[in-house]
Amino acid sequence: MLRYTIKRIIMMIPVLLGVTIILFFIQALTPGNPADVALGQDAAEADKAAWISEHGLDDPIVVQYGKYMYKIITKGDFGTSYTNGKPITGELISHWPTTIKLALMSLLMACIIGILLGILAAMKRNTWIDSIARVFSILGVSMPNFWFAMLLIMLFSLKLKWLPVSGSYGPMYWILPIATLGILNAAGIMRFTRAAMLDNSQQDFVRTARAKGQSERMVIWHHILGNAMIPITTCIGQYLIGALAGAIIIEQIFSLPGLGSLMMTAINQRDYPLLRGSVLLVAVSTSVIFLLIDLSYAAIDPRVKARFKSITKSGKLSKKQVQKN
Amino acid sequence: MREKKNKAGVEEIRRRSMFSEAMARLVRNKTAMFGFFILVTVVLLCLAADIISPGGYDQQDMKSRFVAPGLEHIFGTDHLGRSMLARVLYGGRNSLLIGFAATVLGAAAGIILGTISAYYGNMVDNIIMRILDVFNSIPNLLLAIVISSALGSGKVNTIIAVGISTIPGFARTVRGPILAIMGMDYIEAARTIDAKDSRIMFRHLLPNVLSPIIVQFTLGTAISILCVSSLSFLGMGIQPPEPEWGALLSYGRQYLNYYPYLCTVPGVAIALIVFSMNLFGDGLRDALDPRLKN
Repeated sequence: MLRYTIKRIIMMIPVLLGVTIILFFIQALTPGNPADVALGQDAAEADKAAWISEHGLDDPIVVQYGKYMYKIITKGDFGTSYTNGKPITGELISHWPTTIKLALMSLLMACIIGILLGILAAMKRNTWIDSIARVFSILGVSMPNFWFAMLLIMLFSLKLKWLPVSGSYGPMYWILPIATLGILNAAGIMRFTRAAMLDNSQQDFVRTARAKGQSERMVIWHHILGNAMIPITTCIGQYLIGALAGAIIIEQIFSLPGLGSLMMTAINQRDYPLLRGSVLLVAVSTSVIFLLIDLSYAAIDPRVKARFKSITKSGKLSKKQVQKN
Repeated sequence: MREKKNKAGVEEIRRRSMFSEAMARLVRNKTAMFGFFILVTVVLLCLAADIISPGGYDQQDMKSRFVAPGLEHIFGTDHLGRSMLARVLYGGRNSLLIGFAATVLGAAAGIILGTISAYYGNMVDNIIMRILDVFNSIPNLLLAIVISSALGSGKVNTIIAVGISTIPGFARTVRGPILAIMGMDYIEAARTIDAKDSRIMFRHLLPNVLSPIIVQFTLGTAISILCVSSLSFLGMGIQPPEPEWGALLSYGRQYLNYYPYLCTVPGVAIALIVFSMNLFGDGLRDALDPRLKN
């Protein structure tokens, strides 16, 4: 297990290197002079030239990339912002918690609603409950999150005046953003849960469990849901990644000072080092989430755990196992 | 007499190919047909924008600013007295066209990459899949935002940005099923008679994985449309005064308190089109691969 985890973490390195290469070259090839952004269009040419050489932007692009990576690896330094000169690492650390809080809280809400509704819909299959749940799931998947956020604002902030429109001054300001992402993601998770429950409810072990007289509650929660948790976990991981991306837009609408707001500022001001740092942080998180999904299989499914053990023993996957994967 | 009947019966069976079987299943699926009906209606309305609103999307009328939806202006007017009906219809053209074109671009690139990856295997497969892993580690929308920020706004740039972000999805959709049929006898047979690689890929492999491609294309277009309008909503993508559903929503946001209809119309439009595509796409999947249905 430990060996597998370490191997997976090592495998993340080339992917993240790839991300930095793509980001760096896309932005370095973008037309426009960054000095115009930092000093303003009207600054003297000499000042601009000085600024460019101060930031090492007149070096060949490969050298620039090398220096950039060297600083990240040795000092954890993502450079300084073009616009306000602050270190980017600090900016990321101060904005990251808002985004991760929004993503995790909304995902928690989505899981509770989604899994419960999914179980209910699967158990009451082809009844009106199932129909309503299915309409909810397709509506939720189709609704753009920014439009749903506006609908919630119209209803709860402008009409009923229960909740504040936007800002970040206390718990009340978090309800609408979390609800927006939570309800929409619940729709997707519900759909997956329903499908996974139905898949498993026709399996032999369910018939066996019923035949030996186990209570219906035990059959549903232990036998069916237990086995359905594997596809559901994959789906939850995907939605966590989706929630991170969704947070970018939702933070904009509700004026939350998170990574999304930071990124949009960076884009509008053409502050490339800042944008690069933020996207890299999201890419790292995404890779970590993928890893966590894979590791959680072992926690949920004893069969996978057994396979991990055999990997550790033999050192690598046998051909049969590779085919299975 | 009896013989004739039998003959007719055999012909009847022969005439139904796997494709027409699937189409028959699709037509019987009421929800899918409902989605298809909405989809066609909205697309036709957007195409007929010239006929419905001959004045174009930018015709101002300062005497009738912020007119609420009513008989004269079905969807009301904005702060320059422009008809929201015209702006939503012309905006729909942009949203649908860009979303569709981006998906075509992503599908073409993704299918080719996925097929090559699965066909050659080993090194080629490893390199292509690792590069796609890199793109996969950045969420779709974020990737589109980054590319769009580098390319700048505009229709073509938005198509490229959104299109690139859909490539990994298509490559994966194609790669899996192709790997599964690579060991089949008819591929082996084609190789034995010395068929060219490109011929095996495009004549023997791709037609056999058409179903997942069609489904991915329908559902992918819905996602692309969402992505395009998200970009425009964030102020990238399509720029005012040119209308686009996401851009219209972003514009209407500042009047949310007093003139909510400015947001309602484009918001409902996006939700409706994506909703109909999802219904239709789900129906397609059930029709093309009934084993998946539950």
